[in-house]
Order: sequence, then C-alpha cells, then structure tokens
Amino acid sequence: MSVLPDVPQKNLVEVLAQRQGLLLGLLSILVAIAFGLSLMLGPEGFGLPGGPGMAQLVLLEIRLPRAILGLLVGGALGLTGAALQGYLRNPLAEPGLLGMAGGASLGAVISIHTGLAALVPLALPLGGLAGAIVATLAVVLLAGQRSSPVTLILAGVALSSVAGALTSLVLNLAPNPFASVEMLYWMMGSLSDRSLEHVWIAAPLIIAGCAILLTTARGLDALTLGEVAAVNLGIELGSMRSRIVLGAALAVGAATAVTGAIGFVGLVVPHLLRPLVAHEPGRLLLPSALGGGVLVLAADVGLRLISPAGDLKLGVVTALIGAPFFLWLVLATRRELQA
Amino acid sequence: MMLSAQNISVRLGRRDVLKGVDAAIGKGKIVAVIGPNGAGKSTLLRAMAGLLPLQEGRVILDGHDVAMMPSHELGRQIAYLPQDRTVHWPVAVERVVRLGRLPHVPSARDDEAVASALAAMDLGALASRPVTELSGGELARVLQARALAQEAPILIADEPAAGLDMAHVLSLFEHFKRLSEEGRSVLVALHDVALALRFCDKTVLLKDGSVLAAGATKDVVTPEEIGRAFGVEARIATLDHVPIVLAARTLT
Repeated sequence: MSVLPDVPQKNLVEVLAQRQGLLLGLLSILVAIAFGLSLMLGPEGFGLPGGPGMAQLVLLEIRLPRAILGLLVGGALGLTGAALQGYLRNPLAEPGLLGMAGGASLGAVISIHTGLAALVPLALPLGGLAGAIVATLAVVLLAGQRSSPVTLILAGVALSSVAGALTSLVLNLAPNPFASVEMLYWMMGSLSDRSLEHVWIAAPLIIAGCAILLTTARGLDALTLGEVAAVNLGIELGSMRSRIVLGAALAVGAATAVTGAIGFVGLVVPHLLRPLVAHEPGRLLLPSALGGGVLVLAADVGLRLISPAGDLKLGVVTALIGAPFFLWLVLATRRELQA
Repeated sequence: MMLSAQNISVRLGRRDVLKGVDAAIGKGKIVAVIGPNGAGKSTLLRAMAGLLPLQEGRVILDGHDVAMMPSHELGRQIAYLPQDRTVHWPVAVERVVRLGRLPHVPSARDDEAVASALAAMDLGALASRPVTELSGGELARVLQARALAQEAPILIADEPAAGLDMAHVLSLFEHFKRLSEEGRSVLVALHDVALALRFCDKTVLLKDGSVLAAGATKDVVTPEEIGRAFGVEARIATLDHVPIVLAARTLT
C-alpha cells in the first residue's frame, strides 16, 4: 500500500464486487417474477381454475413441474454455456458442443421408435439419459487422457455428428407417421406435459452438474492467460477438464433428457451477461445460470401467451430469439473490426 | 532457494529440444539464458518452472523434485512468465495482475502485492483499463506485473524485455536487481546479450539444445563464445560503464 498511496485499483475491486452483488440480486428478482408468472399462467390466461382442490391440483401437478423444469433447464444451459466458453476460451461454444445433447436426443428418439416410451411412462427421459451417458463416455474415450481443449471439441463435434446421423436414421425408419411426428415434436424441445417425476429425475443430476461446474471458476479465470500460465498459477488442468466434462454431462444430459433440445440459451445468455461481469469468466458462471433460468421461463411464458393451445414449441421459440442474436453478433463483430 | 536442472533432456514432438542440459540459479542471483533462435531457451525455462515432462534428468528445488510438487505449491515458489502474451478476454489490467495471487491462500497481503506489482511496472494509471485497449509493450508490463504479484522466491521470465521501450527495459532490470537484493532469484531468457552483461550474475549460453558455455556472465559473453553460438563477429565495449555488444558481420 505504501507504494501506491491512493490505490485506485482497490476502488475498482469494490465497484466490481458491488456490481456483482447487484447483478445477482437483479437476476434473482427476474427469476422470481418469471417463475411466478409461469405458475399463474394457464390456458385461460392468468389465474387459477375455480375450486380449492382443483387449484391446488393444477398448481402442484401441472404448473409447478413446468416452472421448476424451466428454471433448472435454463440454469443448466446458461451455466454450461458460460463454463464451456471460458474453458475453451471461445465465445461461440455452446452446451451441445461436447455431444451430450446429441446423445440424449438419440436416446429419447430410440425409446420412441422401439415403443418403450408408449409402454413405460418415463422411458423417454430415461432413454435420453442413457444416450447422454453413452455420448459422454464416447467423448472422453475419443478425446484421450491428456487431451487439450481442441481435441475435446473435435471429439464432441464428431460425436454430435454421429448422434445426429443416427437420429436421422431412426426418424427415417420410424414405424408409423405418428411416431415420426412424436419424435420431431420431442426434438423441438418443450416444457409442457412434464410431471413431478420428470423433476425428480432431472433435478438431482442438474443440480449436481451445476455444483461441479461452479467449482471451475478459479481455473477459468487462470485460463484467461493460457494453459501454461494457468498451470503456473496452481491449476490442475486434468482435474479441471474432468470437472468440466462431468458437470456439463450431468447438467446438459439431464436437461435434454427431460425437455428435448433447447437451443441458443447456452450461447446467448453468457454473451449478454459477459460485459456486466467485466468479462471475467469465473464471475460469469452464477449470473449465467440465473440468466438462463430467466430466459427459458420467459420464453415459455411468452409462447403460452402467444399460442395458448400449445402448438408452439419452446425450442423453436428460443431458436427464433437466438438466430437474430447471431446476426447481431456478426454485425457487432464487424463494427468492432472496422473501428 | 536453489533451483537446478540436472542433465535434463526434453523432446517436443519428434525433436530433441534439450539434450542433457545442466543449469542452476542460486539465492539472490540473476541468471540469463541466451542463444540463437531455436536453441531451446524457452524450453529450458519451462522445464525449470516444472511445466514440461522431462525425457531424462530432474529439476530440483531445494532438494525436492519439481515434478512431484503439487502445482499450487510450485506456483508459490516459482513465478513463470511465458513468452506468449495472449490474454483471452478483455479483462481489466488490475484483475489480470491479481491472477498472480491465485496460488496463495486469500489474505490481506493480496492487495499490497497487486498494488506494488502495478507500481513496479508503472501501471497505476492503466489499472482499470481492459487489456485489449493496451499497446504490445503495455500488455507485456501487465503480464510481468502478474508474475511479480505472485511474490515467489524464484521468477522465471521468458523474453520479458521484448517489445518494451528503452525506459521500461531499464526499469524492469533495475526491478530485477532490487528483487535479487531482497534474496529472490531471477532467470531470464534474453535476446539482447548486452543486457546479460549489464545485469546478470551468470549466463547460460545454449545452442542446438546443449550448453555451449555457462558461468560468470563476463566469461560467457565474449566475442569468441558469441561467435561460436550466433555465427557473427562480435565486438564488445563499454560506454559510461555500460556494456555494448555489436554484431559487426556474419561469419561465413
């Protein structure tokens, strides 16, 4: 302190820390509002159906699972996106990159194809989980023991294309038109008609995955200076990679298994929030989880307002929000390069 | 604190980059590693920082093999500044410097270490600027400040002078001198051999992955050794007690 009497950087730390608290507070309020709206919104607009027994039934059995899943799935996607972008030091990384979402989709589609989904109520999410597990193991084996982020991306992309090809094959060989429509609808991603059982399947896995991802904050900060400097700063890269893969697998695998593919959330949310945390990858994690929850809940509320009959799918709405965002990103990058 | 490389060999891909190299830094010493491009300077520095697997030999820090030390412990003993100056996100200068505190248990010392590292590298005015808005030389000083904030007994810096203006080169090496007077050790890879003559107690001259000469700097940085290593006819003189090394012509 004696060297720099008026230490300007101390103020900066304080300001940033304050902003972090403020940001988390604001996002929590938004989560609460979106969650409340999601609970109160039904096919006949806001409010609960008449009769005390009926109101309770609808609230607990239909709307609560939907709101909880929206929050959890959005949180999982936002957090995984932020963690992968930090780990790979690439703002275009998204939760599907490592192949778990593709694996989960394939597993779910197979359980529809085989008729298991029609026989056993929870075969669909469990099939998705099985697919995510297989995909994760395959990515880890393919990437190898001492792999760099680049080999991990390559393995993930390779796995995603294999899963995508096999999913197309299953669709192609669908036993009847109804099955193929069911598969297509499932792949569009949705929160409707999910029960508390879906919550019980997904919640522990998503929460465990998110908790694991949150432990990587220091390592992500250190990786800002590259891998060699990060090791010199005491980061065990091997352990960090394992935590990233395991956390992403649990969070994204479970999320995709219960809701289908919901795109762009994991890409857009960290992008929007990054300037609010002064671009620090470690501090981006928690806000991204909250922001992801807000975005998915809000999109789900929005699509129910637009089409109360339920023919709009959540994954389609998030993609419709996300694609223009991509265009904006291109234009912003172009402006930056020209400046 | 004593760090020594004992007969180390390193292979990167199919190339033997170091072949049986010995090198050592003692407490309170400044040691230079010099040599032509591709001689293995950076590899020697990384190996001595415990950041590379060795084919042969050992790197010993006060009797302990660095390969066996947990990385956070190593990060408290050795601060390493890579030649690569990529910073992947537009983070504020002060936050980059603060990353140097990661190996340490958080304490009140952190703020002081960051403040004095910023001051030593003349960065007070830039503390809140994003690193993407800096010039190459300013960024080099930020990364050097990160390594200083680590407050390790040993500093290993790969080409810390590259890209700095002449005033900051001078203040950087004067800071290294102060560190050595405090009992800390500095190992630097250098292109400017005159800086080695002026500031470094000892010098290791590498060529093709082997030690060509090592010892007191004045015995290593001589026209004969420079000629053998770099293939130039060198002239060495002093002006106002400051050594000057001139490559007069290439030897054919």
